[in-house]
Amino acid sequence: MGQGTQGMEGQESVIDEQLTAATVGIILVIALFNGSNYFLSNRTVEPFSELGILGPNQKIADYPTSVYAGQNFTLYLYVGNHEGHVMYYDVLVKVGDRSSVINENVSLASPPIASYSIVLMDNQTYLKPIVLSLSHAGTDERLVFELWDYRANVSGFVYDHRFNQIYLNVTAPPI
Amino acid sequence: MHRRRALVAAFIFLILLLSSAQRAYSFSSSQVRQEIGQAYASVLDAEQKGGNVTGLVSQLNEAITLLNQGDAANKTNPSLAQQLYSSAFSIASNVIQLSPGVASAGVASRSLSLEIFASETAVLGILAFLAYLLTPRVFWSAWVRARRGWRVRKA
Repeated sequence: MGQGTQGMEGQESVIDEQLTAATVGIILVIALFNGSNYFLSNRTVEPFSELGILGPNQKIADYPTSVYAGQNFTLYLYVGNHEGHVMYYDVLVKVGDRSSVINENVSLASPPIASYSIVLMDNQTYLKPIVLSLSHAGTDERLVFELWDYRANVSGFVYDHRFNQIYLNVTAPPI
Repeated sequence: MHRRRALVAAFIFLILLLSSAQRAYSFSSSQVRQEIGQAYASVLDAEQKGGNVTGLVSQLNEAITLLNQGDAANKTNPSLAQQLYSSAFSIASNVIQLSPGVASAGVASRSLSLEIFASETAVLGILAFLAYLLTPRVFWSAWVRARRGWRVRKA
């Protein structure tokens, strides 16, 4: 009888411990969730900006390949901000050729033929139709779009290491 | 008496000169660009302090649009370009003036959310402590209460 009572008390004690552990565990999980929500909600893990040039149908296709000099053609400019804070962008449109040097670190050493400025909130995107024309005829003309962003510490725009390009054959306009 | 009249006339002339100078003051595209850059820096600062800068950003974009329109009109219609530059400049200046207020509101909002978080954490800590102390007692009293009407029968 005594042994049976001791056995039951032992069982109750195990149940007590399990119940306490489960209840405290649930509260701790809630506290952890609450804490992570507070500390990580405004944190951007991998900040980045997006630059895209879309064709006249707002797709990554149907880009013009051949235009007349002076002929207007439409493209769509896409910029996305995922930097974790508000950004002031400037997209410069430049013209080069196959021998022109441009990469993630060096911007094209040509004067811009057009520029588009926009201030974007974090996680905001921008899509705008742009009408361009090239004045000089040439084969494999390189239409370059560079993304620049404003840096308050230098009070000016700095090349953001992102560019897009399309190649065009520009022919003399028909007479 | 003559001296007094001369002084008054000089004062009026000075006022007219100043007001006409103010009217004739013109903005260049680069000045407006610089002001927009400063306005952006102030918006960035306000945002980093927790302020809601949505309205300021849309004002900045409005200023940029006016600046672009001014640049486009500058060759054909300089007076229109001046009006557009002036509007863009005043919007950017307004953004610079409004930013500190937005920043202070952000600081206050952050401080409030920190207080709420601290209170929630304290309440959860107290609940965890109480659960550690009272869970078995509460559970077993509920268990007994739920079986109050039970009768034991001899098997």
